[in-house]
Amino acid sequence: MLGGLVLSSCSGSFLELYPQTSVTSGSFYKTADQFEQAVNASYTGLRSIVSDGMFMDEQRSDNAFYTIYYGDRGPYSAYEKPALFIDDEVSANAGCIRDRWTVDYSNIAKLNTILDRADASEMSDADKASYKAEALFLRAFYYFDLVKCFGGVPLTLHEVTSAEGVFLERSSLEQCYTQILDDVNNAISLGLPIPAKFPDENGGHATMGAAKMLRAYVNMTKPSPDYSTAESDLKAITQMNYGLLSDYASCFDPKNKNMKETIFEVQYTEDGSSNQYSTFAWRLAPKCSNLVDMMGIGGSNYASTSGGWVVPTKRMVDSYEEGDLRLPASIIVVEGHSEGDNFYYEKLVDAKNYTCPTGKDYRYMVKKYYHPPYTYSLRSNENFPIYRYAGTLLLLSECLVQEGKASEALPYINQVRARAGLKQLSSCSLAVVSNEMKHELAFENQRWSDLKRTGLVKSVMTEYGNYIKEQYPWVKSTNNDGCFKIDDFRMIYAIPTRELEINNKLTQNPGY
Amino acid sequence: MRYMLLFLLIGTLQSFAELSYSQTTKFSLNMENATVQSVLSTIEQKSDFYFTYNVKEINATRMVSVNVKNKTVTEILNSLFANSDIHYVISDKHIVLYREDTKAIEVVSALQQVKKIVGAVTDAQGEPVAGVNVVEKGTTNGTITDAAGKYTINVSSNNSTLEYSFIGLTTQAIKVGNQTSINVILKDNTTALNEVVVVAYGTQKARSVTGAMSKINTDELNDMPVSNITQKLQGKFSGVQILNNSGEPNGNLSIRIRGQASINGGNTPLVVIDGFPTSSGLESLSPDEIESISILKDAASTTLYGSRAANGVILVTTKQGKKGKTNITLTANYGIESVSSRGMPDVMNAQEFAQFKKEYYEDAQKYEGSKTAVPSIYANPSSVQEGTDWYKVLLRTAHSQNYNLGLQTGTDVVKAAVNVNYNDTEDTVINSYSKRLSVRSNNEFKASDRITFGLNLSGSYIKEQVQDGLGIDRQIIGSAFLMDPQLKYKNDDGTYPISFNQPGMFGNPNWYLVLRDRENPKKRIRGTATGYAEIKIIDGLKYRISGNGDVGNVSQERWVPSWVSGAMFSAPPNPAYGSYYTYNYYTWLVENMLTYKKTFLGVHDVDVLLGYSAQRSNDISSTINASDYADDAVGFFNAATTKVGSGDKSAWSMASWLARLNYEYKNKYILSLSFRRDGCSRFGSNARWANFPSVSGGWVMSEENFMKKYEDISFLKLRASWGKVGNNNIGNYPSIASVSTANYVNNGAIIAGRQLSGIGNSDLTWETTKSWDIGLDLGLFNDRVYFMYDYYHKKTNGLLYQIDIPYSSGFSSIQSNIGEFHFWGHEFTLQTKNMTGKFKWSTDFNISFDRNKAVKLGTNDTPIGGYNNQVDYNRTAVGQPLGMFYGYVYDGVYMTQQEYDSQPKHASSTVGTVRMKDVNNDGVIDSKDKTYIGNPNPDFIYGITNNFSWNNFDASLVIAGSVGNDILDGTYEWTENIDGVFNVRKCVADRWRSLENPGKGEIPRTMSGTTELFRFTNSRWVFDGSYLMVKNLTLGYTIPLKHNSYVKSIRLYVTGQNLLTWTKYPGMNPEVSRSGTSGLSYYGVDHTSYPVSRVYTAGLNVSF
Repeated sequence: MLGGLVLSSCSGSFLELYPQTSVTSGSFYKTADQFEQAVNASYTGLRSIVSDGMFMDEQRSDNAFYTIYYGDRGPYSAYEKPALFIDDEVSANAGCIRDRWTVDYSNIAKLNTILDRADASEMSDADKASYKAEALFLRAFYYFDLVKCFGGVPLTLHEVTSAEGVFLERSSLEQCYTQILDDVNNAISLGLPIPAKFPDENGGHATMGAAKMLRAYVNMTKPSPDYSTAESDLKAITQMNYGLLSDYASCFDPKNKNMKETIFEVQYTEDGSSNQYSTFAWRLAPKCSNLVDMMGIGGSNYASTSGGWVVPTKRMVDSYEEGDLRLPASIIVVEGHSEGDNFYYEKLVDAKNYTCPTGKDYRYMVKKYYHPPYTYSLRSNENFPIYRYAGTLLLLSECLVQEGKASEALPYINQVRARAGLKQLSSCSLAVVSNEMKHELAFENQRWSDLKRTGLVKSVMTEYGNYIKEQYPWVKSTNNDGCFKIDDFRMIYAIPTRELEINNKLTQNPGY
Repeated sequence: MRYMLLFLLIGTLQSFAELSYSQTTKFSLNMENATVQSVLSTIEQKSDFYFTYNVKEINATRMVSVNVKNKTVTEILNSLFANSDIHYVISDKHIVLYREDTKAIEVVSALQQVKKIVGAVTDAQGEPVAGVNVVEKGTTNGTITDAAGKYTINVSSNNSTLEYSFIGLTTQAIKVGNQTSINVILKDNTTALNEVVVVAYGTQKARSVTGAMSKINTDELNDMPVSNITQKLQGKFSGVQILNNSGEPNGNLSIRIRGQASINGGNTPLVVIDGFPTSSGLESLSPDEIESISILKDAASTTLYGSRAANGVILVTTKQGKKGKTNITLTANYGIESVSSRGMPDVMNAQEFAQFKKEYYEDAQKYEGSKTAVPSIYANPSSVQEGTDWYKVLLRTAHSQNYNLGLQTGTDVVKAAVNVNYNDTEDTVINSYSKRLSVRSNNEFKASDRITFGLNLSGSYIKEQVQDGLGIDRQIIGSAFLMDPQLKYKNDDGTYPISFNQPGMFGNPNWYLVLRDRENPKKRIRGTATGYAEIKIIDGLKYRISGNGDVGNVSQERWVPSWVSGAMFSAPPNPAYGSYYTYNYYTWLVENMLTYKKTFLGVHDVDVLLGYSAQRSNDISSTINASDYADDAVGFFNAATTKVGSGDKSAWSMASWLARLNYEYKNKYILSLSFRRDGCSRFGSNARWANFPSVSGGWVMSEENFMKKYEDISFLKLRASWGKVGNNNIGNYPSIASVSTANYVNNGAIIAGRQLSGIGNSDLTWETTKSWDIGLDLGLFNDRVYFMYDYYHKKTNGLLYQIDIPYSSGFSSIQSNIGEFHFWGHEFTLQTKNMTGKFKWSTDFNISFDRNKAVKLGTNDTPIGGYNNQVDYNRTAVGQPLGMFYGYVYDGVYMTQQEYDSQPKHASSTVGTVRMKDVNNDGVIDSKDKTYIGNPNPDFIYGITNNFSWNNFDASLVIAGSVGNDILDGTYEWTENIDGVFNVRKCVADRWRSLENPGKGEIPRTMSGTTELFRFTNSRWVFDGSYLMVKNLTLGYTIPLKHNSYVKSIRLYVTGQNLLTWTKYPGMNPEVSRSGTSGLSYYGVDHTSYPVSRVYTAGLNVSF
């Protein structure tokens, strides 16, 4: 009898239990609000691209090197090797290179889910169009990022629901570019907002300007460039509401987030508990034993990637034209003293014509993202630019030069120079535009791609490599003088070996 | 000759007999389906005849039908024993029945019996025992007791001795003397064979067990003064590997039965305490409240636990009340613990390290153009003292104490057992401890002959502190001995530095202060209750309902003040932080069981079980993380400015049907069928229910007549079993892809973001293990030598695990059921009583050879693990044993330019750097040269226990060990990091520095950019992990007491725990494994754990 009671109480729903504290895939992806949250989550990958890009896009270029710290010979070599051009399958399977591959794809997966499920949702057609446009833009952005780093990659375009079909071959570079252009074209034709007021209250989200900027970069980067489409896209941006801020340095001030010069910017904030902070102010600061004096709060940035990276070279400082207002806004000297490998901050000094007093030591430092005092150790509030209007003007200049219409480029490039306090140019070439970009977009993770796109990469980097070897004798001994061999294969990175081991359909990029 | 005599004698006797009573007395009997015994009794009642016979030889329970009128006794007997080998002789009124081959002298002596004895036989609880053999010693004369335990027997003289025997009870012999009435109490027989053992959902005679199981009564383990019962079990069972891999005070040891491994599902056996499957471990129980432990190994023994049984089952039975005299025991012991110096890291002292650092800077200047001068503290090594031994700074001599009060009592109506235990164990690492108070009360009430109620209650409270990063990982201990030994943990003025920043090294906290000043106490409260009612419906048929509840609460307050906030690479002061964590759970289980147990026709033993069970478990947890404290004054989370809370809630449920049939014929042929059907909420709706059947059989060969002639063989049984069990340890909602938070920012404001946190799989189902087992039990010389052998083979199929998939899918893995492992092995146990006289010596020895292999891994047979160069040591791949070490093969150093020029190189190689083997012979050293470099699976494991006693002295010695397994010492990655950032092993002094000064060829040069390869997982870190450990040595003395009404006995003892270790492994603890025995990654990897300490204890047991 007692048994019977228990039996009857155990029928039916006794074994049907679902998570009580989290939403599940079955109940999510129904309403517009849920799609908005899903799209929001797809932006978070941009932050990893920013931090990985510092090593893969900026420190690999001629703008910056790093300060060797002898205590740091460990796994951080994955962050140093790209700068020395000795990155290999080992460094590709760790640190920034592997992270970039992973992050791009994990965000693509989020977007695939959105794109696959939007049509069957409860949303209005207008909402469907708007979230799909945003998702398509982002998918194009992440695939473009992958292609720039790794060449032709596997194209995963739908939500993965089982292990079947995840072992893909690489698509060709052309197939990838076709896919990227399809996505960005569809995003543009579905319609994206054009901000009218600044600071943009939707700052950080995809806009028509960002999509056209992306399409212009894609068209100018793909194996057979399409300059005319790029030109019309870029010119269209100049007809939107964007403009240059009067002061170059203020573009990077956290007080001026999403102003009229911003086209697309990675968003951060620092409120103590939400973990939405950025870290680059600390990563770019020298490894230093008395950070509290320099940053306003203590902490240690000796270990790992937390300090001493993307260090401007003297050659970079010297390359600014006389009177360029961007130099003091971009680079500063941290003067102090050293005890063994440990550095102690004393004061900040202008980088222009700096000489170090005897008994002292110094480090060049990127100043763009340095806005002390900070409230929390190893955290900062700055946003990071992806597309700035100044970049649009210079990319348009480059495009016009490539089309053989160099003189048409002058008004655009001269707008940028005027803000920098430099004299107006009367003639223009690819090298001149590139040099302007180098300084305007310095430390914004653009330089390596710019060098590759303009074809200047081999000559510039070979020359730079010789300078570094001369400047730092230890570079010469590293890897038996194998550093800075700027071979063709190094234009893209090695694919993480984990991927190759797990998916035997993948092939490694030649040379690695 | 002998037979001649027999015939002569019998012939004579018969001729006498025929003349008298037997010829004249006639009977009329009409008995249908009666036993032979009852026919004979009827004859006795109707006449003056009396019979004597040996019940062992004359099958008195045989069923016969007799229908006669006016027949003589000889006529009746002739028909009764027609076609059998039973003969009889009649001497006046006395009839002796005997088998054909009986010795004549025995028959004659039986005929001489004259005296009639009556009496009753009861067991220790006063219950009558039916079916006891009562035999006049040295004759074939005997009888068996009736249902009331009564017997009548005629014996030949006052000099006769009666022997009373019954399976499961100790045989007793009593001299008749002048007595005519003899009542006997037979005590339980504790020899292994006759013992009743606890099995899944019931008990069984050990001799009838057909599965593979081991058991131990804790009175065999009484004197080992450990706080956790698992420590007592090491080395005791074949096929069971128990490793003290963490060494934490009162930490759970890891247990692995028959090498079982799952990947995601865990390898921990199911622990069942008094019939209640529990999710928490054994640490809340005091060893003193445990009566016995059974370990069920094969599928046939475990299948009644169905989906939770794949890793084996441990059945714990706590002490129950017993009818009879009240028994009170008091135990107290006190122990001193310390860490042996064997295996301490062989790092440099301050002077040696200063010399190394100096040379490091000099070489960088000379060969790399470095402009960094030698820091002044390293410039003159000869002036540097020996410095700090950072390992020893963190250790202390610890003390432990344990007190236990036990009470057992019982009457006809109430039986009760009460146990109170207090244990206080300090650890050898400073500021680490565990204190436990546990109480238990087990009660049984007999409401009537048919109804029994029981209520068992237990509670425990544990307060413990183990700092994060101590248990199994290398954060604190492993970091501390990497410190520059020149540093002092305590200043000369008595104050303590809070952080260190040595030139070229990473910032570090003062690890002494970290241990001393971080607060991390965890409190655990647990209560369990079991209530049951048992109703005897008819004879042999019982219904039992039980309700079980288990509630628990864990809370942990954490406070890290700013001066100890930090870690390696991050020196204090850092912002202080705190947290408060709470976790509550409750589990209930209701079981309905119907059992029927009956012997039919005297030879068919049947035991049937039918049951239904439902279980549900709920838990809820929350954490409040606190930061931004105004100062270090108050650590409670409420004092912080920023408080962030999070929580989780989950549940699982299971409903099950179960059934078992045990059938035994004539104690010779045994068959057992078991079945369980489980439904569990954890699995996808498409695959929620599963069936788990098993079958096993046994043949007690020694019961066969043809075996009787081998007198030395006292017992021989062959066993075989097959069964299927499952594993559901995969978390509560694995089949459902959940959506997790991934917020973003919109122009400075936080906006909600959500993303899929995995790929769901609604087809996810049980991991099943099918296994078969064959075994042999052999007792020799009256079981003085007892031998057991098992061979098993298991196939685990449908492994529940995360298959690695390409990141290009957006995810790193998918939960899947595709995978298969095989396990097989041989197990031997040998128990001998070497000496049984005044000096007693017995030995238990067991040895197990376990093997395994991966057969299928996911759709693509993707290996598990071993992809990264560092801290990814194990690879499980198809065709290989599980958890193999995977890495480069170390091959010394390129000593000369010629060696460097002529041999395969890595991209970073130069002369004087490390040389790894070009395994694939492609002329280049790269990741394709990684290979299997060691096997953490032992060739065999063994345990030996010796017990001695002489007069009032006793001693026991427990030894356990493992042979043939490799250990990968992960500390090498740091202690042979030659970048000058850590203290290093002494051998680094003899590294390659230049062609002129090439060292011993073991350690490469320190040139930057070349050293990383030397830190990739490689064969240099792999060692033979074989060991033999003296787990316990106990010496005891029982004080001889005169009979008094206060104290029954007093025993004093001293013991040593973890006394000696013989091993070639140079690390701290050969039982170490970062993951214990669960999981495949870090299997057999030493990441510096809590050191295992040597404990000396003195104790006292008093019985009242």
